[in-house]
Amino acid sequence: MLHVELRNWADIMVIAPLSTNTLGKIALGLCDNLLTSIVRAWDYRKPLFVAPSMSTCIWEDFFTERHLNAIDELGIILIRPVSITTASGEREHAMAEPSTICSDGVASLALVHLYLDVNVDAMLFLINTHCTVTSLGTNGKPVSAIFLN
Amino acid sequence: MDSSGPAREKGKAKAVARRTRARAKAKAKAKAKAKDNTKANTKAKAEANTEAKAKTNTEAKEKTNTEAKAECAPPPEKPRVLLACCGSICAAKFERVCRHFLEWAEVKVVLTRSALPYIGDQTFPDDLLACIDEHEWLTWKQIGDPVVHIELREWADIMIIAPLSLNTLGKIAGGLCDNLLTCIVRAWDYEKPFFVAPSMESSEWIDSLTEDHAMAIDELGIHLIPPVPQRASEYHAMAQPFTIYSSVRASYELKMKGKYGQV
Repeated sequence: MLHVELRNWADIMVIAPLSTNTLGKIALGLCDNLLTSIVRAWDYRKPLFVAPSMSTCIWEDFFTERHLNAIDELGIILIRPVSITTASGEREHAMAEPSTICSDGVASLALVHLYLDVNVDAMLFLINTHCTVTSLGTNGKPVSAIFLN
Repeated sequence: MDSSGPAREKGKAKAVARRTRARAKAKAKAKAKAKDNTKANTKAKAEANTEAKAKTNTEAKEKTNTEAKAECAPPPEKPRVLLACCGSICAAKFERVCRHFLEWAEVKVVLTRSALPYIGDQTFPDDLLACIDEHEWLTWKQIGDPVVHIELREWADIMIIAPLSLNTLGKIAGGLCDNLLTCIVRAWDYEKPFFVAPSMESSEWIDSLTEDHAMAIDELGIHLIPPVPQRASEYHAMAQPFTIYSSVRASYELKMKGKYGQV
């Protein structure tokens, strides 16, 4: 199967941008197309990054919070979207800059994930250096999601 | 461990509530159908003159009426089995599954869109009626017309999905119903037996999400026929067609024996 071949071939997977629909499908374990089939079969000893992009009202939604929690539990690393206001005045959480997604920070984290996955201290050190833990949703409850700055 | 306890209890409570609601809905539907009996029979008779499917519906309804009148009557001579197939490598065995069940039961077939490529070149018996997603939308034009997934749900005594794909497993666990098969599953009366025979990659079978989904369908009351690991490849293949057939038949006959005693 193609999705298994791609899964075995890849060392790193990046979904950029990640839509709300695909986020929901990953969180619920659905696999009705090639991309979600690869994610469903993914070996989480290898790093998987997602860079979501959606409107602000959806980003702050209850379901989005649940889905983000779910993908964090799976082991997927989130590249935090950027809050912007479009020319027409709409608020959006746009995908992080391509340069950020390809940055040394992401590469370092990927390397740690690949070669030192047992070394928790080194992982935590890099996480604390490159990431922050941020609250989501109106309730202000902290979510243990990993965001790359 | 402590935190998961109450969560599981909540899950069970929700499951019970869901079943209760489902049964309440079923009762309401039964009442509605009783009221519409006259209209339905009239329409059925009219349609019987023109369409074979209408005849099938008429026969099904007549059987239902007969059974309703005499509750102590023995079960029908042949059980009515609804077989479903999802898009998976093991869909290639679906024809053999059908042939096994045709020897024992009346069979109708439901196919998902992604199943069609896998079984397109198989030869099925001519009298086997296959339903696909389009039938749901093409036959319904106005209120009062039969709804395909409800018709199939009422007709069937047993439902078997073989093979069950990973995607459909996730949808059943999450309560989604975006095609004919998942609509039937969502509407299913769990007092009737329901079996699934999954088929997937070995890495997907041991995944935590799959475990969650398997637990969810177990709570619903669906019987899972476990896949068989293949040594040559990293694949958990659907159980053998004969295994599926014998498991389902043994389970059904045991249930009937318990229900009617030694006839």
